[in-house]
Amino acid sequence: MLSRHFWISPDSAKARHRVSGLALALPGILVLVFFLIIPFISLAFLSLASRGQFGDVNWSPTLENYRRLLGFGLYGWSPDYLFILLRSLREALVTTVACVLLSYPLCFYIASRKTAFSRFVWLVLITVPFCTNVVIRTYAWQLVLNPKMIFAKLASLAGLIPEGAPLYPGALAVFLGMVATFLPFMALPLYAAIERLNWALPEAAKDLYASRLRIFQKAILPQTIYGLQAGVVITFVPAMAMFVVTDILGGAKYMLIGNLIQLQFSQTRDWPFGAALSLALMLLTLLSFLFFRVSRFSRKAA
Amino acid sequence: MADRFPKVPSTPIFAPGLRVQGVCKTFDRERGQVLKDIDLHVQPDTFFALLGPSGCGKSTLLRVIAGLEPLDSGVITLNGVDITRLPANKREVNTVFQCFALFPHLTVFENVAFGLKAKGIYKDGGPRKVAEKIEALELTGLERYYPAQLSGGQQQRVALARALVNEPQVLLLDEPMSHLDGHLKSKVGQDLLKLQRTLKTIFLMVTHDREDAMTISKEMAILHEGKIVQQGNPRTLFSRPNSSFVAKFMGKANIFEAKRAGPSLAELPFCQVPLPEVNWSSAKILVNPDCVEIRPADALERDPARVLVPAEIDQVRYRGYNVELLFKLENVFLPRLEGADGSHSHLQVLSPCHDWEWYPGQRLALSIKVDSLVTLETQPLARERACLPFPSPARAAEPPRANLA
Repeated sequence: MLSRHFWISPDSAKARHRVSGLALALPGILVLVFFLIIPFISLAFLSLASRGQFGDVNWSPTLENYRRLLGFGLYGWSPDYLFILLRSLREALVTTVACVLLSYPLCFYIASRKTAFSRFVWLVLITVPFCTNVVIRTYAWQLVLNPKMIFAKLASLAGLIPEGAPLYPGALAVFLGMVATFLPFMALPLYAAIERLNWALPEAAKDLYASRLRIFQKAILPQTIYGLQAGVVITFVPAMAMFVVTDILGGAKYMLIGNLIQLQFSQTRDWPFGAALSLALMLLTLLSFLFFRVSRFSRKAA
Repeated sequence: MADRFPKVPSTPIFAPGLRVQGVCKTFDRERGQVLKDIDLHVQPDTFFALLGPSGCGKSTLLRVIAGLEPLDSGVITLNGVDITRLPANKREVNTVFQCFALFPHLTVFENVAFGLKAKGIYKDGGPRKVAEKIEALELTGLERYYPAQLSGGQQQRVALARALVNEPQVLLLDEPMSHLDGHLKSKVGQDLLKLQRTLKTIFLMVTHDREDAMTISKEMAILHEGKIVQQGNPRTLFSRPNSSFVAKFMGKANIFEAKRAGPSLAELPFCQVPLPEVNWSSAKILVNPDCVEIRPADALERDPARVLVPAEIDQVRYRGYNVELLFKLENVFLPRLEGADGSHSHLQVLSPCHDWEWYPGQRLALSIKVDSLVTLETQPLARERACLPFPSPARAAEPPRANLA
């Protein structure tokens, strides 16, 4: 556009943009190098070291940490750490799926509000908890689930928990806390996609004899797939590494990879093993990332 | 249910074609009623045009027939079967949307096959049907393309193929030619007509362009503010409009205010004309272009069915096949009465090009054939004069209407 108006050949304009683009991106690139790539490399090196006697780092290279991670310990093979990894994966997946299932109807509801003001109010209601510190929010869940509140009373009436017991710590409490934490991450990108949905396509699908499921699958999902993808990534990745919610609501019963890593760096003071766990987590996240990228819909939509 | 659809079809249960009876629709209070008691009957094997200015509710009516919009009251039957409460995905009606609404992530072939797959009848002969429609709409070779890779005309043909492959009983077309220009427009129009003739189903087209509607459709209805003002074939609507709104919408320029001047005499702004029976106090008179002939200024009129009016050419507009002449009329009895263009009493005449050499200021005479004047929107006589022995047939046929302009 610019080139047409100012009589510059498109090639030279593009070349100039390339140069000025690099100059503008340089600060960002430097930040990436200093705060992502260098720490990553040092983490990789650290994971090859071992723990000294007093929690210091012994820099002689060894693969011991990875062997331990895979379950080859002093007392033979036991895959405890692998179980924790798998459990984290499952927890993150369940959270993500629950957030998707909750977000679609929620976003359709908000997008169908008539006035801009009521849409705004609904979006604020979604984002406000997101502005509160996650620790405070999670402690609030403890209050909600404590034995004097209606939920715990109902559960004990139903005979699910003993009289006077709280609903935490446990898998249900962790699940609730995780979904509540990550719902905005899923709902906001999805809402952005649903708000500019082309409604002619669902209508055309309906006109062409499609059932409700088919309308969603063929006319709504392909249009919202990018929002969904963004939401899944920014929900799934932090959910994998979450340790605050599991710590407060899961207690000692519910160890996830996030808690394990935190433990290595704080109490156990086994930094090399923590580094190895972190790298394993990163690898797992990256793999699931790739899985989402090559999923069927993204290929078709491209 | 009984009070929701109080209107019971008054016609026999089996009415072939598409029948819309007493359909009303309101979106919200501010906009008021969008469709007001619509009655429409489309015979089978008809190319029908719904014509109206933007915002008259014609697209809403189309969506109601498609089942995409619920209606407040009324009945829709298709070949005698009540489809009023049938959802869109169960109706044998398909739509070609104005924006085409092709699925961007599906190829042309998959788009066309969509309806058959959704119905679950793709397996028996689906690929063959799809290929046939693709060939019939000249899309061969584009099967593997995505809609974004096609031109607008190709996208429209894909949308047509996608609708027609389901063999609907009614095909709805929402403004199929609004985004095309001149040459392509007439080609698409002819193609649509050809398709309708081979398929022999109902094609219901919504348009705001009277020329599109007139050239293609066999029958048309004019909508104005949610009501059907007139329904008929294009010729009737053009030469016998029932209101000045229809006349103006059909492109008529020559509408004049008239006053009663005697029991069989009406007074137009430029002359007095004898009419068979004048039982109104004031009305609008439409001068159809085919009832005006141009004569030399000094001509005499011997035909009692014609009135001669002296006139002067004000503007000459060359239009290729013909010339549009705007006459300033002399001998104005009622000065400053509004003509159709809102200014003053100009009379528009179309004349073949080769006829004469016209120039502004030329003084001529116009010979107007009296019995082809159309009287519209008559206002009743004052009470003491209204005691006519018989109600006039003209009045019975043309009840007074509110001024729609």
